Amino acid sequence: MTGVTAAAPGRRGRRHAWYDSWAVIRGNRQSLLGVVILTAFVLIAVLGPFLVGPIDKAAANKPLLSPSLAHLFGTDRSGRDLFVTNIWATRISLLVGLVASLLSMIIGAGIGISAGYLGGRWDAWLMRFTDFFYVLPTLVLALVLAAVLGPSLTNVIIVIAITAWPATARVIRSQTLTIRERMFVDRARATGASSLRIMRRQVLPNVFGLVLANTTLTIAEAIFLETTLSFLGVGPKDSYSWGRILDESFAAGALTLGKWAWFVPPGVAVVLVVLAFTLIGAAFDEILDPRLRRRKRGAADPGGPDVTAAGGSLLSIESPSVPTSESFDRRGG
Amino acid sequence: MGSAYLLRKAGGAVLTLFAIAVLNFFLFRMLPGDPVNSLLPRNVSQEQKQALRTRLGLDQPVFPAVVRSSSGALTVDFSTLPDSLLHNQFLTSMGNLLVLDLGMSYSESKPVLEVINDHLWPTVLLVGTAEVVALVIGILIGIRAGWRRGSRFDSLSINGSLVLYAVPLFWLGMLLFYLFATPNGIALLPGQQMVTPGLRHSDPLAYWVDVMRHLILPATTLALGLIAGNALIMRSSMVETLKDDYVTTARAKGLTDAQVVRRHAIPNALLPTVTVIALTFGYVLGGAIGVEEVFSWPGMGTLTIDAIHDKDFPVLQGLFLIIAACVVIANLIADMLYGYLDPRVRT
Repeated sequence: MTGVTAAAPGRRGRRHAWYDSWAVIRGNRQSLLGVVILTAFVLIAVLGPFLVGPIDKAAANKPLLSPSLAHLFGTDRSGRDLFVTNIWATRISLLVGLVASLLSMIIGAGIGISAGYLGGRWDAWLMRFTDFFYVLPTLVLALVLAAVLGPSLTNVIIVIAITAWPATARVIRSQTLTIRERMFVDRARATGASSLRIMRRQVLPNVFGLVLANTTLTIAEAIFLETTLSFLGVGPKDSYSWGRILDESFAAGALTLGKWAWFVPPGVAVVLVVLAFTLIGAAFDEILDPRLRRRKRGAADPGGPDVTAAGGSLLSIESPSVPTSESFDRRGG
Repeated sequence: MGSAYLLRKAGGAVLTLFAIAVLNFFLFRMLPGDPVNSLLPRNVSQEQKQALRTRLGLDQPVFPAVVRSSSGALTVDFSTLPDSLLHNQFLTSMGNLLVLDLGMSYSESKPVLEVINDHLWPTVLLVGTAEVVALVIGILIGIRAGWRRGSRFDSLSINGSLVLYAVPLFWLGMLLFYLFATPNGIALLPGQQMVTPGLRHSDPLAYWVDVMRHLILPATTLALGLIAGNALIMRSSMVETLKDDYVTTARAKGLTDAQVVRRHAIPNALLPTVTVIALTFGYVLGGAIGVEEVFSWPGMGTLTIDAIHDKDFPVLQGLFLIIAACVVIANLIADMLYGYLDPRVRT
């Protein structure tokens, strides 16, 4: 994730960039797959609940039914239709992922841009603060925070946002450092623009692509974290997410009862969505760093199917020859 | 190694540990309500409550000039002042930390340190086994993939890693449990606890065999999750190393491809990889929590979940402190190792 080439693009340039981005995604089978998977899940999250109706609170069906045409995933211990529950869970899981990542992007981008642009003492203290949170084991911190705050949808979102921002702040800061030295920033400074204005008008638009690329990875991480937290019993109790279905199935002994349709679908959903975001994140890397772009088909291409970009997105390389542990720290486990 | 570099890193770690202790203190002071209420049965008298408060030091001001009012909210009260500068919960708790006194567990009437100690070695065994297996296999895959970059093996291992990477470890554990520990799959292995309950072990060997059989499923789950990351890290390190000048020089000397890779690329790619993997220790401990929960492995992960459910906050506080400290120390070791291996960073 290095070297954004756009120099304060105008409106026309931006439209061009969007077109370019779509071309990269379309040209790459893996990211196209990511877009297709994601679109399907977003459709389910938005439209699904209207089609299947509310979760059956009265639970009129027999408990622990096996999958059938009437109940695609069977029913749970209290007779709720698991297909319906999974549809609603899709909405909650994606929503938590989205809102938590947006919050965490605002914190991360804010701190990253401030540290990088203001520099000096500000930079030192903000980065010390960031590194402190970066070092703390994500899942353990999230568990403790969730236990202290209590289980609710809002609290889970807050917990994920608080634990997920440091990686973003670090990436955005290093990008800001290079942008600060650019001509158009000097020009703005010479016209007497305040730091806040320069950060908003000059720096932010130029790191925005990177922020967006990071968001895709952060959403994956947030969904992952929410699933784990809910499975471990500190998630919200008033709504169903994939993690909560897994928690209930495990607690009810679905494993020994052989009720595979109870715990397989939500897990598969998590894997697909996280994978989709990772693949799209890889495409973003390619858009931001044209050096990664694949040569045209037919030309000698030692990279084979473009998998290197995907690897690169997980392992952002900071110093020469040393992959960082970012890939691990980005996830709760 | 430059002693200034060493000193700066160690100083940073000590500072981080202190910050963790402070964060820990305030985090658990944010809890609503009077902790005494959750400790005692409902029908005890005010005097008994007060006695417990005094014993736990909860009657002291939280911080110099900050007291907890009867409603539970924190308020500033300057009238406590010269006295509360020294006698406050913050200083007391920091002092206790220095002598490794983490308080008493609510649910088990034992010191927190003892409770954690009871659950320490199962986690060490699980995480240690998984880490060793994942290191060996992950690095081997990474070497092969990075060496034969763009090959079938490379794309297969990268795609496999990406998928494995998207799988929540606890769910992977559930699948393995279902497939290999219940009659719904093939009930080959035990999937719960660390030893067969009720079984009397005649000799230590039988005991260890039993433990090993119980270890297979959780350790495999955790190792699978780690292999993906390790392979990707080793691969990208290999790819970078193969671009370096000394590799070109070695080739120019007329060494065969295999010789170049074995003598020059692998050793040089391995060192940063091992260092980076040491940095992932926090992730490993986090992943172990879900895996332990699925397999009822009696380690620190299960203890964490139990402490949350029982609202045993002293234990939770102690766990957070100890796990965070482990991660900071692992990072420090990684930093030092890296500084030792790569003189360029010793500035």
